[in-house]
Amino acid sequence: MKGRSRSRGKGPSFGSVVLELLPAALLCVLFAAVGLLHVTSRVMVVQMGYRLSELEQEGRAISRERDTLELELATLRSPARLERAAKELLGMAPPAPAAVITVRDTEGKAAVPVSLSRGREKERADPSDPAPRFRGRQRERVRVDPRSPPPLPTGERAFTGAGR
Amino acid sequence: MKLRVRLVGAAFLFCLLGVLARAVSLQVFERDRLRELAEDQYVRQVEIPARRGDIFDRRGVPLAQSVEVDSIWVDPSLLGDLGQAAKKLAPELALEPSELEARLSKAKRFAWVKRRVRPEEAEAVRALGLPGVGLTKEPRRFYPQRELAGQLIGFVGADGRGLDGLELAFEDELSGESMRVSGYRDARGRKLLTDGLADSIERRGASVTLTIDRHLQFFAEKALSRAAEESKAAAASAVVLDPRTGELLAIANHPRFNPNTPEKSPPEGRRNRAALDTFEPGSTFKSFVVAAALEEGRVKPQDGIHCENGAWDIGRHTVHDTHSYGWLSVGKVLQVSSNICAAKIAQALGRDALVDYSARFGFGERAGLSLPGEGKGVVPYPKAEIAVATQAFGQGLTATAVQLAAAYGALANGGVLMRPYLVSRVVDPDGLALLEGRPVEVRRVVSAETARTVVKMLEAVVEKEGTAPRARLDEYKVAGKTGTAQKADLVAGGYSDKRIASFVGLVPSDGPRLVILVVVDEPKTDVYGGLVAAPVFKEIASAAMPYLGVAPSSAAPVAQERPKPKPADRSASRPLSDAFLKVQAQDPVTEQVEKGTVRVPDLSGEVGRVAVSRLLAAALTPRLTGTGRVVKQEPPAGSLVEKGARVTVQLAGGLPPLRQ
Repeated sequence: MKGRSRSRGKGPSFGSVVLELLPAALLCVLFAAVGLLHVTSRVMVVQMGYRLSELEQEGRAISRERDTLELELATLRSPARLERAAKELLGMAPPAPAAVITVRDTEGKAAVPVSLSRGREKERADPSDPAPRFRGRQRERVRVDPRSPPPLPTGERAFTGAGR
Repeated sequence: MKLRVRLVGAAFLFCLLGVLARAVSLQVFERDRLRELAEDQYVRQVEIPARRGDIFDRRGVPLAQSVEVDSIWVDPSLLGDLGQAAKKLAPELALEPSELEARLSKAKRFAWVKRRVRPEEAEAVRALGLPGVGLTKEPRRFYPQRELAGQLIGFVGADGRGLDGLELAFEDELSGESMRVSGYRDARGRKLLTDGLADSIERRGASVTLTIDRHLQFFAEKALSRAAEESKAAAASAVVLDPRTGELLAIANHPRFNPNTPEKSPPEGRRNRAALDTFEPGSTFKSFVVAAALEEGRVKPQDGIHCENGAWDIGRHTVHDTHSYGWLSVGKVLQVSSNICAAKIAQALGRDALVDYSARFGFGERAGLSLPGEGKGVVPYPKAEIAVATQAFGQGLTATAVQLAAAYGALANGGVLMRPYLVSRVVDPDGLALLEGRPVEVRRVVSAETARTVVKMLEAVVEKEGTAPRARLDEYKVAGKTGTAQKADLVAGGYSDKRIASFVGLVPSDGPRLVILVVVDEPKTDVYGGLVAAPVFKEIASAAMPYLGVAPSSAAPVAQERPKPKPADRSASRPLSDAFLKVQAQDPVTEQVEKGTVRVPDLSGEVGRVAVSRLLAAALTPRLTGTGRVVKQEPPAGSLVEKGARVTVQLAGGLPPLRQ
């Protein structure tokens, strides 16, 4: 109705048309923007979902690997295997009870077995860890030749390689 | 015109209402059903199985651990020629082709080929690249220490549920809860998680830490198996217990059992006899009768008892001794293990006190290790006169090995019975302790003085005239008791000629750190506890004592005080002192410079053991760090220090420390 009455006059100016249409145009743009935003966020959610499941897979794979390695470590450290390795590969023997020196503290309490592996014990937070077990033969070797070199990584490699 | 507009308007309105109505019916009334239908198509409940908790020994080394491994499945409809495929698959997986083919042909869309395969098997199958063959991860239970404490830990079934031992006892705690996470799966089957992941910590079961020490367990099992094989025994078990706390340090059983392959062992091989089975303890029970009689003042240690020269009639029955004895002191009765005198002591004690003290020592009452099917043992009230006599030497009543070891623990622990326990901690993944085992005093059974007297008497058992000289250790004082029980014949009634040989020892007896019980069931070569079981005790004890860092007993031949630095002092002929004496001869730095002070010897390049010997010889207190040979010492060589001063020695170049 309104439009018709205007057309009877000079006709609408360009500016007034723009003014007339501006709200509608803005609304359109707004809708488009919102829609775009929504779609983008959905796409991102999906991408993140993929990413998440990928990372989850990766995490599981890594923790699986850790479990496997821990298992291998535990297997390699089983007393039966350690004893075999120490006896057969390194030629060690369990020390006679007398070969373990027990050092009494000055207070005369807590006795700690003296061995070459105090550092190791500290790590494990237990003073009676078995590392000294297989040291007997080493001592004898020292008796023969006090200047002989300490056991070197070659022996160590043979040691850890035995279980594979 | 207006009418037409209205008609068109009405038509549009009608259509619109129709659409609206449909929308309402779909979105409101059928919403749930439709959503389910839709989600069925693209949402998957992705189940994440809980990782079963680990079982650790007392130092945190895993005894049972779960790891996810591949399981191979197949969709037979995609496979084409089943026979051909089976022929390709079977050799890689060590299966029978015909059997595999039969299995595959039965299934339509899914069949397991082999579950929980080894990594190399999975790799081989992947390399085959057959269509329709898939791999999926399934947790598998591993026991990295193999046979070690196998019966104690138990095992899990194919579905990963505990079937025996601790795996069964702590099934609820270990298993944890599987989680369901909803996620989408796209057309390519890729997983798409939308809700995020819960913390992986929630997907783990609780871990169980035992009081078992894997090295002591190993010593016990090794010694036990060797003895059981040598004596061709039907079975054997050993229990190592810390009498001061009641902690069980080792529970060994023979025949051994590898829980990695439970199907390969007969059911009796899986049995944790030490904790579950009851047996008649035999003469090892005499110590408790003597302890009770001493406590009640019915006998005195120096009292003489007449042992009837080997045979004593009680009613229609006759009690025999293996050797005939006349008058014996109470200690001697234990030393030579006289049945007749033990029976007389029990008579003097009286029925009620006998039963009462048995109960007080913990017999006839479940030890409470939380193991399924744990034995209880029975101590019946001895109505007949002969029953009093037989109970005195441990026949006619039953106990588990753990009960017996714990009861000896009471004697070792100054008369206070500690509750034996096996599980020190059950901790759920976020660190909350669900269960914590602590030393629990059950009761004072006898006075400290009585306990000490009995232990003193038991020291005589390992002397030359005793029943178990083979249990004697050079460096540590041992108190012990042998037992050779007759086995009840369940078929014919009465007793058979089969025996249970046992030995229980406390070491070192002047402050016991361990109670070690060895029970050998039906040995064929020798039947006596002193011959079959005592050497096992000796083997375990002589490995365990240095391992635990127990100082040699003061009365034992090894000099406990610091060795004198005189080269002439050759009396200590231990191989160890040889090493240091040799070094001494090379550089005699330990001359007394001034009263109360010493010179610090030069230790550079020495092995730790030698360095320690020399420091001890110089009346200094060694402190070591690292492993290998001496690279540094503080204070330096040659400096004058007070006697007893601490010398810190740094070692290097040894084997690198093992990482946890």
